[in-house]
Amino acid sequence: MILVLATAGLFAAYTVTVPGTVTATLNSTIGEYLVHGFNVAGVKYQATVTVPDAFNATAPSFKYGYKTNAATGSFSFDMAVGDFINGTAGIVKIKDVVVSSGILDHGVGTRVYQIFSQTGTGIEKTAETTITIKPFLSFTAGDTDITATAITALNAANGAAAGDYVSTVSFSITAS
Amino acid sequence: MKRLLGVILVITISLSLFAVDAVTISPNHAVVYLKGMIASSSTKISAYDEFGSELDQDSAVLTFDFPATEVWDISKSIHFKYTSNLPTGTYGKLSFVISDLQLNEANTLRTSLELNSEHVMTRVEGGNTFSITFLPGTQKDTNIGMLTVKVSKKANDIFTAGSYKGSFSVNYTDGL
Repeated sequence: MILVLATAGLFAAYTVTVPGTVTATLNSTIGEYLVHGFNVAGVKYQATVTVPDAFNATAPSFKYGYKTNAATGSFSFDMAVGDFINGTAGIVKIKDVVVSSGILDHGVGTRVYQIFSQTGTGIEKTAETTITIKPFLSFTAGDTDITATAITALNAANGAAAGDYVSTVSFSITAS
Repeated sequence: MKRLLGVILVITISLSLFAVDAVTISPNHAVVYLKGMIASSSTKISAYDEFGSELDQDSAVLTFDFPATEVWDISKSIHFKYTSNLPTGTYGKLSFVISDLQLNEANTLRTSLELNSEHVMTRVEGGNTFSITFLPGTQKDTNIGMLTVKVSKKANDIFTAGSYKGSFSVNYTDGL
């Protein structure tokens, strides 16, 4: 007796179709940033720095800079320069401000200077400049300070009262 | 029969690392402090003759030329001034002692002192002392007062002709 089984359905050919490509898509967003501050002994973007011996014949200076990857928007880096104050004992006025690079747009009659101007491009941009603040070390009749105001002999270092003086120079950024 | 097994694998991962709507500015403000010191200078008191010439150790001589008349009054004045730069005001006294002008024991011209204040911060004490308030801050040749040496001869005074000599001493003390 011969048993013939119909096996046509037992060992059917199964075809598995596998996609040729498996794609994993990773999307991430990197935030825009802007850091600024002072270069102190090679360490950049420090929030504060103190410069001593400001009445030396060599005027005090410091390095200021920024780094940004902003894609859009415009930024103005502004500096406000304060006089040297010794409580109520005396004031030494500011004679001049100089930068090694960048811009120095000075509003007439003000003590505010624009140091940098940056328009976002999305590409990382850095800039740094050395800023020198020159106080009046001596007085000459007719002298005016950075606000175009006349000074007196008491507003120069060789005529002001003895004591410790501090000038505060602050930086801020305006975005538009 | 083919069974189609299709496996489609799509993995989408969205990672929002720095989801920001605007540029992050850091720090908000950067500040630099410029510090300078004006050293105080010790007080220097100077003496000037009636013509405004400063007297020093080599020229501090008052010369009286007595006229050949029976009665006369001769006087010579010295002006005292000070220069300083003090952080705060302070006080001091300038006292004088004068001797008579003498040829010898038998021929002595009596002298007298007269002090006059030349500044509101100076007062005369005891007829021979300037009590001085030294002002703070820069002071250059600020008046103290005037000292006048007087020599007189009355009609019945008889003096031998010759060179009469005398001296006066100046003493300074700090404080009230």
